[in-house]
Amino acid sequence: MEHILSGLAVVFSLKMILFIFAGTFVGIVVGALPGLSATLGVAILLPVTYYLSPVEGLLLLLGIYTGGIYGGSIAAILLNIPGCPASVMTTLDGYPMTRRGEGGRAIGIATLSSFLGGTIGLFSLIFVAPVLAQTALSFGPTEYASLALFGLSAIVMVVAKSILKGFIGVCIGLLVATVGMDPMVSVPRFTYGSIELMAGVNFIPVVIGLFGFCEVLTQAMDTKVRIAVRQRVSRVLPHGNDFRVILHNFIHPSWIGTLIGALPGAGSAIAAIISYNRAMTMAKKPEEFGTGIPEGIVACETANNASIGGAMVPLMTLGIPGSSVTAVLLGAMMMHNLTPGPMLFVNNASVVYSIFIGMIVANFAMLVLGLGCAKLFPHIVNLPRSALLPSIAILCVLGAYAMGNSFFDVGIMLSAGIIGFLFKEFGINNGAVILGLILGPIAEANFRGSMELSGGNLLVFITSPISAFILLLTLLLILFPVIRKVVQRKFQKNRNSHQSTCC
Amino acid sequence: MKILKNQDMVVGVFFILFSLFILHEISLFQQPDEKVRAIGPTFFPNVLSYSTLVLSIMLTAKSFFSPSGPVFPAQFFSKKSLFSAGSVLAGVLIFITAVDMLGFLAWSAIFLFVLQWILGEKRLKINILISIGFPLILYLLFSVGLGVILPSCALFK
Repeated sequence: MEHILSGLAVVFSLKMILFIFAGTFVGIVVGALPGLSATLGVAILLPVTYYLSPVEGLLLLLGIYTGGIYGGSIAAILLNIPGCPASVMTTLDGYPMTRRGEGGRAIGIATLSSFLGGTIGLFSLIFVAPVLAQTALSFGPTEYASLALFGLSAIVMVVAKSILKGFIGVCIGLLVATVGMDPMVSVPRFTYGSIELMAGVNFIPVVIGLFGFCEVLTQAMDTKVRIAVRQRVSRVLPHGNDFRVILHNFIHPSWIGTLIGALPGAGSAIAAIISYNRAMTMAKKPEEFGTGIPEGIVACETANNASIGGAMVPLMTLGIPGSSVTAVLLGAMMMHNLTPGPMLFVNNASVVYSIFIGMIVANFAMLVLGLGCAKLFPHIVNLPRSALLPSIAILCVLGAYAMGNSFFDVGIMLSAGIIGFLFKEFGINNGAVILGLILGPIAEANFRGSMELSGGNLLVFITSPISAFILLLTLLLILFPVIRKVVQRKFQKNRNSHQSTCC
Repeated sequence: MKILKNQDMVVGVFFILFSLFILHEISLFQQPDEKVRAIGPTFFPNVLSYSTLVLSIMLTAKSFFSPSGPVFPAQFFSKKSLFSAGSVLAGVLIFITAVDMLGFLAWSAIFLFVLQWILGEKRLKINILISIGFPLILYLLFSVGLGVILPSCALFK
C-alpha cells in the first residue's frame, strides 16, 4: 500500500504530469505521421531520458508508446495510410467514414475505444504483474537463459516474413552483443584494438540507427506524392448511438489485446488483426465490416491499445520484451539501472508503482489530447516530408551524440542505419536484430552462469522443470508452421476424398 | 546477372562468407590464462557463427528451388529516390564532418535549409523558419534544458 501511495505522490506533481502529457503528445504526432512509428519516437528520444530521473524518463517514453499506438489511427482514418502497423485494420472502416465526411466521428470513436482498451490492459498489468513476478522469484540463470531463447524465437516466428532470415537477424544481433571485453575472463572480442569497442557496442546508437535513421532513408526513397487532407475535423465527441456501440463492443477486444500483447513476439498489430477478424465473424451483419461502421474501429483500436498493458507484463516481470518497442524500453530501463524482472518488484517497488500510475495518467492524457486536439490532426498528417526527414536526421545525430559526447557513437548510428536499411530491403527484420543485441548479454551471462553452476552439464536445462517447459514451448513455436502445414494438407486431403466419394 | 534476380541467394551467399570471416576472427581471440571455466569466451561467438552459417546455407539452398524476387525492384530504386536518399546520407556525413567548424546551431540551420530545398521545399519563408526554429528548439532542449554540451564553433575556440 505504501508503494502505491509513494507512486501517487511521485506521479501527481506538475513536472511529472507535464512530462507525461508532453510524451503522449509527441507520441500522437509521431504515430500520426505515415512511415513513422511509436518505435521510432521512443528510439530517438531515448537518449534524452538519460538526463532525467528513471521515473521521468520511463514515463516520457511510455507516454510516447501510448500516444504512438493511438496516433496511428489518425492517418489511417484521414489518409487511408496506417500511421503505424497497429492501425492497418483501422483503415478499413475509418477511411470510408472520412469519405462520407465523418472523419471527426471516426477519430472520436477511435480515441474513446483506445482509452477503454488501454485502461483494461493497464489494470491487467497492475494485477497480474506482481503475481507473475512473485512466481519468477524462483527463476535462476537456467530459467532465464531458456526464457531469452523463447523470447528471441517468438519474435522471429511471429514477426519475421522469412523464418530463416529472421533467425539470421537474431544471430547478427547476438554477435554484435559479443563485441567488447568478455564479461567473465576479460578477453577482448572483435575490438580490433579500439578503446571505444572494448566497452562494447552501445545499443542506444544502434537503436536510433536501426529504427530512426533507417526510416529516414526509407522515407527518402519513397518519392510518391501524398494526397493532402483537405477535410476539416469536427463533431469528434462520441454521443448517442456511437457511445452505446463502443460500450457494447470494447470488452472482448480488450481481452484479446491484453493477452496477445503479453505474448513475446506478438504485438499491437497482431492484436488488432485478430480482434477485427473475431468481431467480423461474430457480427450479425459481417458484410458491413469494411464499409465504415463504428464496430470495425472499436475492434482494432481497443485491442491495439490494450496490448500495451499486456506487453509490459513479460517486460517488467521477466525482462523479456515482446516487441521492438518493448525491446527499446528494456534498454531504457537498463540505462537507468533498473533491471526488469522479479527483483524489480522487490528492490524498486515504488518505481514500479510510479510507472503503473503514470501509465494510467498517460492513457488519460491520450483521451484528453485525442479529443481536444482533433482539429490539429489534418495539419499534423499534412506536415511536409521535405521538412520532416532532415529534422529527424538531425535528431538522430544529436541523440546518438548526446549519450557520450562522442562522434564514434554517431558513426555507429549511421552504420546501423545504413545496415538496417539494407536489411529491411533484403527482408531481415530489424526488430529481431535489436532484440538479439539487447537480450544477448542476458542470454550469454545466464547460460554461462548455469554452465558454471552445473559444471558444464547441458542437461541442467532439461532437469529444471520450468526450463524444460519453456524449451518445450520454444520447440513447439519453431515447429508450429510445419505442424500447421501437415495438418492443413491432411485436412485438405480428407476433404477432397470426402467430396470425390459424395460425387 | 542472374544472382541479382534472386534476393535470398544474395543474402544466403553474403552471410555464408560473413560467417566464415567471423569464424576466422574468433580463431584469433586471445586464450584466457585460467582454464578452469566451463565455457570460454569463444563459445558463444562460435555457436552464433556456426548457426548463421547453417541458416545461410539453408537459405541459399532454398533459393535454388524457390527463387525470391529481384534484389533491386526497379520501381523503388528510381533515379529520383536514389538521389533523395543519397542527398540525405551525404548531407548527414558532411554535417558530422564539419559540425565542429561552424558549431551545431549554424551548421544545423545550413543543413536543414539545403536538404529541405533538395527534397522539394521551395517556399523560402517556410524553409528559413524551420531551418532556424528547429535547431533553436533542439539547442534549448538539449543544451539549456538537459545540459548536453553541443559542438560549438571552432572559430571562437
